[in-house]
Amino acid sequence: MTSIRSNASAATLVAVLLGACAGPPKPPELIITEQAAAMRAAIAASIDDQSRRETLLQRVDDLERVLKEHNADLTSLSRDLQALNRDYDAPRAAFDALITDYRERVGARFEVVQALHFEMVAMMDAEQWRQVVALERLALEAAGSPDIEAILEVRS
Amino acid sequence: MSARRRSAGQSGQTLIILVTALLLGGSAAVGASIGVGVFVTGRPLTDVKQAIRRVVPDEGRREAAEAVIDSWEADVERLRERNTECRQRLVPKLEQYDAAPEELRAVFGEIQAANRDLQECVLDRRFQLRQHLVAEEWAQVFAR
Repeated sequence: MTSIRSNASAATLVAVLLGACAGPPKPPELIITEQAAAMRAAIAASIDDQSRRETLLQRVDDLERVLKEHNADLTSLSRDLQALNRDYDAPRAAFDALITDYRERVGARFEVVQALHFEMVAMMDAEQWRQVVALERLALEAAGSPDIEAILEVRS
Repeated sequence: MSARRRSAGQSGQTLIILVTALLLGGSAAVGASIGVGVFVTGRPLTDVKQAIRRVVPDEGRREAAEAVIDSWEADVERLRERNTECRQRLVPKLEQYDAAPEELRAVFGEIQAANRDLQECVLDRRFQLRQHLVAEEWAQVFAR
């Protein structure tokens, strides 16, 4: 009975979190991969200068790497917090330490992402940028979205 | 069935999680619940409240615990709205071709401040809730 109720809760949770998504949810890591690929395609199609194009493609590689790193960190944090939460006697300091460390990593990544962002802007004109920025935004959103199924794996 | 799907389907216990968004956080699909950096429970707090009703026999402690959950839900909603406002300011700056780094940094700072408040609130509520449950009850409410 408990198992049935638990499975129902998990299913409800996934449904609520994923909203009106049709079909299986895409893991954030896959979304980052897809958006980075789309950014590369847009850059390859719109930047004629080879040197500039290669530099931009390198920056997309760097962005993809740091965003995936962040997303994995997010999952790791949630797992650590879940474990702490289950421990009735876990001190608040243990939670604070996890979060403080995480916050510092986020701050450092923000600096990297911001630098990459403005470096790319500087190498494109407004129209070229317009074609890339929406893709970048989707990649950033995915990076900041916990992988629900990966987080729920902690329960199994 | 993949390991990812199987584990999601098999999982069932409550999580208490709090996360902070990196830069934006929140695709259209998950944004409303998680993306703004608010991810408090692995199942709705209403489910946590139901579990409390099942496992806490003492009426006084049970009602006090339920009141904590009510306050927790109100906190989450309030902070989610604040984080959404920050996000709505960040996206245009991100998409603006001639935006200055300082503009982006300022909004990011606001997001970090909102997340700090959220984290403090969530931990406050977690430890308030703990005051009203004994260890055995806690283990049942948050069992794997």
